[in-house]
Amino acid sequence: MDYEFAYSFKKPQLTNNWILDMNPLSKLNLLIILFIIPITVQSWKWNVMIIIFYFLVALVAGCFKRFTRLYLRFGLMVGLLLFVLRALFIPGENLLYKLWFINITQEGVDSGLQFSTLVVAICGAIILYSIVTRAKDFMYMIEKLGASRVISYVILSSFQSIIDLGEMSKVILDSQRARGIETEGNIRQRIKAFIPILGPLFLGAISNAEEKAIAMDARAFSMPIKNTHLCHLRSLPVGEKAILIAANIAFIGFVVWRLMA
Amino acid sequence: MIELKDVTFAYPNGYIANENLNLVINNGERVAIIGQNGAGKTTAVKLMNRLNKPTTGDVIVDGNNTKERTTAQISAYVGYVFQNPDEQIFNSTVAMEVEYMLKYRKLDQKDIDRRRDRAVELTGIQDYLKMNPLDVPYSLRKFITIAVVLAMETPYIILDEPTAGQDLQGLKTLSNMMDALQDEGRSVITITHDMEFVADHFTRVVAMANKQIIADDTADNIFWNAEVIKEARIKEPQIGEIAKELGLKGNIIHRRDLVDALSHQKKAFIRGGSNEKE
Amino acid sequence: MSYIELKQVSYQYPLASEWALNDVTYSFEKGKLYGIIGANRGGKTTLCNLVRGFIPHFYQGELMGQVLIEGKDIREWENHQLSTEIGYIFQNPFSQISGVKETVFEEIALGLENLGVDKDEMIERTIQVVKWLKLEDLIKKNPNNLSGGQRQRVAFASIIVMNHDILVIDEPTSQLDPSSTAEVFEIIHMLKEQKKTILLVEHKVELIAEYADEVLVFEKGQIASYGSPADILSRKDLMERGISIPSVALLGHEMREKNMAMDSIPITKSQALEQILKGGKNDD
Ligand SMILES: Nc1ncnc2c1ncn2[C@@H]1O[C@H](COP(=O)(O)OP(=O)(O)OP(=O)(O)O)[C@@H](O)[C@H]1O
Ligand SMILES: Nc1ncnc2c1ncn2[C@@H]1O[C@H](COP(=O)(O)OP(=O)(O)OP(=O)(O)O)[C@@H](O)[C@H]1O
Ligand SMILES: [Mg+2]
Ligand SMILES: [Mg+2]
Repeated sequence: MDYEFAYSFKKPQLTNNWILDMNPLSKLNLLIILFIIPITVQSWKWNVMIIIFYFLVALVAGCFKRFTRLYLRFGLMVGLLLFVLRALFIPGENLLYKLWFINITQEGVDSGLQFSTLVVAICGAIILYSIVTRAKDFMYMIEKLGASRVISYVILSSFQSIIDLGEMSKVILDSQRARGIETEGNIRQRIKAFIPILGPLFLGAISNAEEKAIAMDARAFSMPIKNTHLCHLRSLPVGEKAILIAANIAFIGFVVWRLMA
Repeated sequence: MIELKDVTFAYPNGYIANENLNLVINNGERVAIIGQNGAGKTTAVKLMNRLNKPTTGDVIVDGNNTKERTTAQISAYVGYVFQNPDEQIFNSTVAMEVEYMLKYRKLDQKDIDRRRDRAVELTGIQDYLKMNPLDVPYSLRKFITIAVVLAMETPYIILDEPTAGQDLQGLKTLSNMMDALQDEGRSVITITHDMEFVADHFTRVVAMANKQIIADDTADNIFWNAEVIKEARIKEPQIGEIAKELGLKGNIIHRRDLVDALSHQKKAFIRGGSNEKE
Repeated sequence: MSYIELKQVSYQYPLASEWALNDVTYSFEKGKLYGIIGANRGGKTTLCNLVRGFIPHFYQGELMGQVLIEGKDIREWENHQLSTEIGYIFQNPFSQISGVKETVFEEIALGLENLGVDKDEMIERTIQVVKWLKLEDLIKKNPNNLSGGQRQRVAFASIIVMNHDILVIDEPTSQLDPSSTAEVFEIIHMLKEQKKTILLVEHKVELIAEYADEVLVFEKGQIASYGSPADILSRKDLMERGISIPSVALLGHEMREKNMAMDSIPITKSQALEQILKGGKNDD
């Protein structure tokens, strides 16, 4: 029996990486700032800078690979799509290129660039948060804020099912491959394999939800008492408090400055 | 023939689940794989259709190294029924589930009907074709996934824990089905924890423990090998246990053999000193 | 006094064309271990759902008759009261992992968090069941990366750690190797010694013969027979109805047919050995 591990739950579980160990609320605070900046600034250059900044944060937090994979998959795909749509269909004066009936204009490209980087930057804040925040810390936090167990579970498991979409679709893709649907070839084959699983991904989520709900009920999820926690978080260190205050003051200053300008 | 040659497999998190597996499964052969929970049985059979890619070593199916094939290509040879049926099912009726791949492969309707009917008959799921697979009880859900694989008519069929939760009739359906498949010359590889079922329906048994194959022998030899029993955390059928405690010879694991032995050498075993053991 | 009482209970799942339970009347007494056997689709799991209150609290459908837990109608129990009173281990081991915990240790402790047990006690109780179920090597693993049998043992541990007075256990060993199966039965036996009331559904009749106080045979939604293991599990006619009996009982019948001495039909290995040795001696 690994008692050391069992008793490690008596202390906060730290990873010794200051970003990961930061309180989830502090992280939320900082990321909300990053979330709002692109909305107030409205400049694609700022957006790109913030996006680059996310990668740096992920690097420092030691989650670069995981972040990059997820971000490329969701964020950049969406971004590219939005850019193309805008670039193709926003009308303007300065024609850049003509393709049959489609006019690509400078305005379209600008607007596409602006809008897509904005969305990608915002997506980035959310994805980064989900990567650098341990699920259980997040659960702990929202329960401490007064959310019931059921609510935190629902939030958490939907939060996770987004992350786990990869996991879940891997299970289904495995079953597809085992029957003979090609999933390993070129992009066309992958898409072809993916279409039949869209249904079960959706249905599976529903039927699982039903079975899960009963299974979780057996674990006393519906108890109307305040639940306790096996894991807890450390109280806010002074340094972290200082960073937060500084960041918030700087942010408010920045917003005021932008509004004046 | 399926051949595992010195295969080692590690999961993405680094955990090594199979070590130096060597195994040959011939055409038309019936093999049971038994062994402790977590021994690596499921992991090992998934190597055979490349759902798991060997970290080192080779897996050869009918002369082809699986390295050069995709799982989808191998599926024409090796059919795999998952341990957890819920990982496999995704259509909204049982009939659609069984026909899905046949339609995908664009077989002609007559062939589809024939294969479906045969698979349905072998698994005994006639009455449930119109139901949603997720609404039928667990034991039956397993048979649906088996029917799906049978309809593919592959030369090798792997069943992962088909006996779990089955009643007498279910076990009978399974054994009849294995007989029928063997008559057609197909190989059936069955992972199971049901020792009576193994004793009754298999001659060749592969025992796994701690990531490795620790024995590959006949059922009666395995059940009379104390070391294998202990390591693989298996148990001989009760009949075998009794024969052992009575000090009977001949690696008995079947009831009729025990009755025979008892009626012939009743006096002998009493004098043989088994009383003293008590 | 009967502890759990079913009075002429019938139940039909929503949209189902047949009754899953049909006029079931039975009283379960406190502190006993009930072995529930029967062919597939006989209604065993439905009985479990009913006693735990998932019917009618969760499953709709038509329920007739009365289910009383400690004298109080199941409809009057609050769902959360039932979750502290009755532990339920599900038939499908694959759907019981919460999916939100990163290690097996935390997964097992989850129920205790919900019951508001304080941290020190939670750790001690979790350690206790980890030892009972010999899960020491798994506690640091991710619950999503377990083998089928490992999952089932973790699911079992996750419920018994909550220490309910009544346990409803639906095929707890379906994915387990024979040694783990024996261990789980030892634990169930130990729980009975702790005066818990246990309803145990199981196809492995050898173990039911060994441990159960009473046996109930379910057939087509009804209790076809009930009684002591010795009375029920020695009956050869059950085989013809698709319900297995211990292989030693079959051995006993076969020996009788061959006119070999056999006072009573054995249902456990030790009884069989005793009978055989006695029979042998009589011949001497
Ligand atoms: N996805 C995974 N990632 C990491 N480890 C895994 C994964 N799946 C299984 N394992 C581990 O690999 C080992 C072998 O698992 P496997 O499923 O092959 O066992 P098994 O012999 O089929 O057991 P069972 O009889 O319980 O089904 C186990 O210790 C398990 O915890
Ligand atoms: N969710 C459901 N919806 C509709 N019908 C159901 C549902 N669950 C079970 N049934 C039906 O109720 C009947 C009794 O099923 P139940 O699961 O109670 O049997 P069981 O004895 O537990 O069988 P098994 O040994 O296969 O677990 C069966 O006919 C089954 O098809
Ligand atoms: Mg397995
Ligand atoms: Mg059941």
